[in-house]
Amino acid sequence: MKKRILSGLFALAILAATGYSVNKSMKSDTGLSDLALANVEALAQYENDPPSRDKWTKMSFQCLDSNGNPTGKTYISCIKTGYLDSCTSTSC
Amino acid sequence: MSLFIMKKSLRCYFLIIIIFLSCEKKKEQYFNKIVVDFNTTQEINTSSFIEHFKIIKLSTSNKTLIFRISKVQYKNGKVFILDMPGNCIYIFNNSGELEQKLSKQGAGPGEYIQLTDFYVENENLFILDYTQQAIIEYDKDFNFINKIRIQNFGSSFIHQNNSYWVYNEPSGKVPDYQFTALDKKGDKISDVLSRNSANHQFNWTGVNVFCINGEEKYLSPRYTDTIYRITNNNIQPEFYIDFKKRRLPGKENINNYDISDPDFSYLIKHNFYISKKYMIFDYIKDMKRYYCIYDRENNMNVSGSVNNDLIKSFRFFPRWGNDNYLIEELTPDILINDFSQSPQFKRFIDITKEDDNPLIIIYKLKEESA
Repeated sequence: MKKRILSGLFALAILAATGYSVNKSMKSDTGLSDLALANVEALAQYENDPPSRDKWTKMSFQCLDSNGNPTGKTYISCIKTGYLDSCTSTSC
Repeated sequence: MSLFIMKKSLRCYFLIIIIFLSCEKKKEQYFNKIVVDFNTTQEINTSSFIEHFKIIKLSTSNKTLIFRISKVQYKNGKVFILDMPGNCIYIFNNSGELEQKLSKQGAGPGEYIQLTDFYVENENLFILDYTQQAIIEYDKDFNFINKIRIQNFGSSFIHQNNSYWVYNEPSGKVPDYQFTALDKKGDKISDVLSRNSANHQFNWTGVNVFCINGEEKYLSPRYTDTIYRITNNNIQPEFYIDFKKRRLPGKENINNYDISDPDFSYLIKHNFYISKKYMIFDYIKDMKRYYCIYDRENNMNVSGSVNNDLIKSFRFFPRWGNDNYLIEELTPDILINDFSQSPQFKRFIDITKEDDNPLIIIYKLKEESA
């Protein structure tokens, strides 16, 4: 009986230790000053490929009748900022 | 001694296996598979799942002329309306009177260039500026509180436990993740649910990707069959919709199909709404809209066309929802031309002109079993 309890405690200790190390590594980040973090963030922001305001995002919609059923047609709405070179809006 | 260590190790292994198996069982318990009987021809009455409804005629003036409604939320007895082409947010009360209007176009502090979404929490208003790729937070008087930059092409979002979950429009890159979790500073926590290809003929929009039921938050990529619950900084499948032989094959991307084509034969989820008692979604079959009402308490569902027996001679076509509410918009031209015979709208017909603001219908879903 004593052995069983000890084994159980050993397994729990492994889990607790894992939980602690995760927690500890997360807490260690708070050692950096807010200013340093802000600088890192500013550098990391859009480092590679920023969203382009000169390109487009295309949205496709189903055309619907007044009861909410589809008519079989599609319309396109274009929003500035995206990755497409061109986009043409259409209507139902 | 070595025998003692071996025995001890074996016990540990068994214990770890038991813990692992118990976790797996727990996952299964929370996963609700909804098999849709799409061959049914039955009609579902709105009175079977809706407790009551209210019709709100939004006031019209030069200051409140709505161009087109892109999203509606009903929170704390107020109707929040996003007018994307008008690039502003209106807040109306239950009587349809305008209480506030957010219109701060610009690139300065607290200003936005193009609104695509909003979120309301504890009277604070969060908005998503698509052009700046930023989330801005205001207090109840629209005083600027905070702004974070987001990445990719985020078009809608929710706030959950000090983090933001953002839906990203296609980026053309590989991998291309559909959802990103960010912390309060805008730092990425995780990306989830990669799109399985980069270039598509379509980018099907017009349905929700997030759903809010009090503290419960859900997400689901557009026109897909799995709905995930957001838990802390992760997601777990909560509902799986099974259209059997009419389901879109798992590896296919809906943006490669023309879902408007009458010959498109797969059945796909459109909008989804989760309340205390129900999970409701709609789908199109043979060019007609059907609904599936899944009772979360009894794990039973019913599918079919919906007959609006609460509002006679009227459709049932909610397009938004939050908590225990489903929300429908009725434009004056459709009211006058298609539903003027409905007795519930009789009092509005005489006072409504075609260029007035729309009517908003708020359906309150049942919370308890009858």
